[in-house]
Amino acid sequence: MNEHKKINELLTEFILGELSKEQASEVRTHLEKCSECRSEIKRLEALLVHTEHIRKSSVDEQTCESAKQAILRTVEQEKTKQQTSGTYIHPELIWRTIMNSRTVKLAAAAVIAIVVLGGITFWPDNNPQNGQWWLGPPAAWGQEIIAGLDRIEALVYRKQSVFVSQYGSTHVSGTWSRNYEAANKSRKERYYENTDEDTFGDSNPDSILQNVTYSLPDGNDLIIYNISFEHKCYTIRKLLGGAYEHDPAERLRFYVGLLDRADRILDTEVFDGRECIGFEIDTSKYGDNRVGQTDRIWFDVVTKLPVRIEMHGRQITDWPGTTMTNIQDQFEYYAQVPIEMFEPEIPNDFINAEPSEIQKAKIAQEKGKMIYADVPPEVTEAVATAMKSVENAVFRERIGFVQDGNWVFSEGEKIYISRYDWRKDYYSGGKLQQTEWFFTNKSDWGQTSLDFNDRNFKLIQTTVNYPRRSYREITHGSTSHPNNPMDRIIFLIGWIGKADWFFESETIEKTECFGFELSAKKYGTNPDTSIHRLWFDTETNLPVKLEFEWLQDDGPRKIVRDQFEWNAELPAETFTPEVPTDYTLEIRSDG
Amino acid sequence: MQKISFNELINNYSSVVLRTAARILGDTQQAQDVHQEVFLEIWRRWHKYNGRTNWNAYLYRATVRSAIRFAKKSRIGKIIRQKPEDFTGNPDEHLRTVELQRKLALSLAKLPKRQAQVFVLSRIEGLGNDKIAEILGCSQKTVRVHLHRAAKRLARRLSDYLNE
Repeated sequence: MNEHKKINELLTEFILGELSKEQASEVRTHLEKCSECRSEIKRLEALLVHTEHIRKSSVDEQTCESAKQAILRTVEQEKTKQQTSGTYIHPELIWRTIMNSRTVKLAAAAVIAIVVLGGITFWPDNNPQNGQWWLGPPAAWGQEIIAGLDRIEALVYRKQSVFVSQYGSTHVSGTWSRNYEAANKSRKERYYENTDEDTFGDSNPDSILQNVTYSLPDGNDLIIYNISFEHKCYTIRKLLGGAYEHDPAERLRFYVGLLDRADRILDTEVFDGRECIGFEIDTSKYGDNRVGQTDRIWFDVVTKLPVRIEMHGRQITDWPGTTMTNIQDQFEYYAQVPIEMFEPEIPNDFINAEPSEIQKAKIAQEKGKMIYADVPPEVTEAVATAMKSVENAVFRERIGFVQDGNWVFSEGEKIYISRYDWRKDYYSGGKLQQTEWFFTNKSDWGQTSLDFNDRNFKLIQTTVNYPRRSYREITHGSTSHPNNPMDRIIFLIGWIGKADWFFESETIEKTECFGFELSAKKYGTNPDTSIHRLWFDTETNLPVKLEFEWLQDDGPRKIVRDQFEWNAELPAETFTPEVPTDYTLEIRSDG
Repeated sequence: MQKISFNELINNYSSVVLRTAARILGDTQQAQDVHQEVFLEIWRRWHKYNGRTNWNAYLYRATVRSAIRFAKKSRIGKIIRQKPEDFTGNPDEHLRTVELQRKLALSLAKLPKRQAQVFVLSRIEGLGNDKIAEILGCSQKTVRVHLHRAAKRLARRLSDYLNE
């Protein structure tokens, strides 16, 4: 190692005074002749001084106490949630087997302790001992299980697949689903395993919800909600005559009915601290199936309810030598259907579109391509006609940013616009802080000219600041002046024919709307991440909500214009500056 | 060794976790989120722990990891949320310190995991190399090397801000 490199490695310890005398003096000598290390040491010193400040900072006792109480409350809530979700058949019967790690999952799928009963009767002992009920005649305990299953109205379980190669190695599929089933409805959540390390760096990956599908009856029809969390969109379809009735526990009952024909009884296994007993049956025994495919079903020794089903040896087309094992576990049994289980919840910011379309658009955007929705010309015409009828409007404008995953908005401004004049009221803490009036001096205009570039154009801005009890006036000329906020709205409306997306029907603020999404790159050198969203009332064809979202270095921002009142009955003095007589003049400028 | 109860764990370590997270993130609100995440995660896997867990070391590791992950996720550089009345002294100076702290958290998130852990435990928590070696299960020499490499990278990344 050369001297420079060696000394450089010691600089931090040198600053911290952790070197021996000899080493320190070696560093000093080197520093005298090496400017690079001198700059390095300056930077390091500045950093270490800063961290020294940080180390001294603390959190007050009250905040510590409230954080402590908050976690205790959350834990209590979690406990309660676990205890009270749904209606119980029996508290003991409801539990969810949570696998602790992939290793356990694999072990459970692969390790089978075998008790071969050599072709004689499966149930060797009519007088079971030591609580080993499964050694008794299945007619007795099988009926007991079936009686328990008869009371089930809803069932929840996890379903996943394991691929088993001919060499014995196993691979757990990266996606799995949680299924919720009741007599005439279902819900299926699809997850994928995030392989990033979790908080503790354990091999206990996060599961990320990708998609939820609800199938709910509507008379004879079936309504299918497909909500994509991956693409933040949803679709609602109706399957005519699709309504169905089935018994969610039927399959389980079927398995229980097969048990007297089982090939072997498996040694008890512990799944998440629960002792379970398993049975294996060749699928050829119950259907036209190939010999060698087996099913295993595991029951909780205490509750006697099924906790796990494994379907081994399923063939995979085009993948010779590899078979698939399907596993269903984490069963939850409900004697009544929990209402909230089948109530679709669509997050507010999800749009009504096919995930495939969104994906296509995302890809197109990533590649910098422009995409164009098929906007019917009559729609743009209808909006243009409606806008022509506008004499005045009132709306709210707010700016938002994302904090802890949620949008947080400023209190914002209330904006009043007419064809020529406008006014902005700024609020903070629920109080009016400032009003700005923009008054176009029409008397100076030529009789025939309504051109904003008219050299006689004058825009007088009067700003009243209420807390400061002051006001100011600025006169803007034709060359440079603030624009009527309506200009911006009209500009954007001019682009809806070239929108990326057109949504025929969406409910915004309880109003039936049609909407557009427009990339700002369509009209200028804006990045893919700058996007406008415009929604119009299907009855009036006038804007209901306008959004502009863009990305800054520190996160997304959004300007939202909403609470529109078009052609409102505004008092005549709305656009007339009103300065309280005792307010002082701050600045006067003649533009 | 007797396994302590979850409530005892909270009583003993709650403030350590909160303060460490706050120092890393420079934001009490976010620190509370980390605090919540760390303890909730522990509660959910409570059955996995036995009486042998070294909670001090475990919680330091978990907090640093969680806070850095949080910094990465929330891209911290957000609008400063403290209200003016929340701090005293020169507001510009305060804002600069908070801003710098946020940049530091973001830069920590970009460091190799071990380097970031060593730097936080050493320079922000003020622990000695022997203690850090024990927490991270490595030698003191490794701690020294990681500390210098982390400091060097951070100082370079933050040089524009540190010299303002």
